[in-house]
Amino acid sequence: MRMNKYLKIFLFLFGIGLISGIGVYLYVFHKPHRNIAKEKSAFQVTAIQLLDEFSSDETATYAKYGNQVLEVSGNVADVSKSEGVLSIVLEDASMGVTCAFDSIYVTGNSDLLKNISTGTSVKLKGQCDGYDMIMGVVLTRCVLVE
Amino acid sequence: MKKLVFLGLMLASGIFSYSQKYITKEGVIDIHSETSLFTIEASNKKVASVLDASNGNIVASTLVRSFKFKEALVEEHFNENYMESHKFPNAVFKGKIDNWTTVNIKNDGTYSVDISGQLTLHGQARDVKEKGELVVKSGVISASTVFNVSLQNFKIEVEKSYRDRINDDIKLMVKFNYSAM
Repeated sequence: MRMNKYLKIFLFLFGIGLISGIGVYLYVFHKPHRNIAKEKSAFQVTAIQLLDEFSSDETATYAKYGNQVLEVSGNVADVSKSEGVLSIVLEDASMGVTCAFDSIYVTGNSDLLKNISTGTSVKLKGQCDGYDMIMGVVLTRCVLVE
Repeated sequence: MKKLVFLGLMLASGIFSYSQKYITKEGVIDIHSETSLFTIEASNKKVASVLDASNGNIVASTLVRSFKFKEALVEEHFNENYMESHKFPNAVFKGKIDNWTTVNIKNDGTYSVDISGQLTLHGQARDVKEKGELVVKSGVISASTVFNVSLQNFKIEVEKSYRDRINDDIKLMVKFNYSAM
């Protein structure tokens, strides 16, 4: 009877250890990537406003928008596809707001994305990676809002 | 007068065809780090580069946050602890192809090239020199090279307890498909 009690305690502790071990393992190796579609956007801006802010003060603007989810609206100036990634550039084809939709999103949402072409206006959400001297503002993990 | 204008146009067109620039905004850089315990792989498919065909000068740039990892937690550590992308969001290479005179972009072919220049990562600029390959095919110039980067050299600190999992020598596998600007 006594043994049984110790055994129970042992099994209880062993169980807790096992569950937390699995938890840590899952956290480290299977922590999901941020889900931009579900995450609420930190800022809602137009592509023109975003470009203006970055070109007037890059450091301060990156501190404000860097790694944040932004909801951006603008006119499509360029569309291209490479390595499964769909890129659209808003407002200025040579130095605008570049938005990349990753290959998993592209294959799952081809019906939504097929209507995007130069001249159409879009609203999308994406992670702001910063300001590049050749590409302009770069957003990745983009999802289409409308 | 007409002759002069004609001459001017000839000269101008000569200059334009000479200062031909090639560009990509969809270059790829893959990161590879391997130790016996842990392999780390990431891919950045938003790398931009301009190749000046008049002299072989190259500029390439990307954002550190655009490197995507398989494991979300590794991506977080890469940005927050190692690259400190909140302080140093950009990665830039400025350099040239040393043996540019041996490359004839008007002819299809494969050329091995020597690349040298300055790589800026983590706010640190370092001279680099690597071998690469250019494949010219119907107006598209495909460039590939591997940059071997030492983390210590760029002042990227790896905690003692992680040194058996993160190799100090990281490979940056670069692939650009340039087309005329």
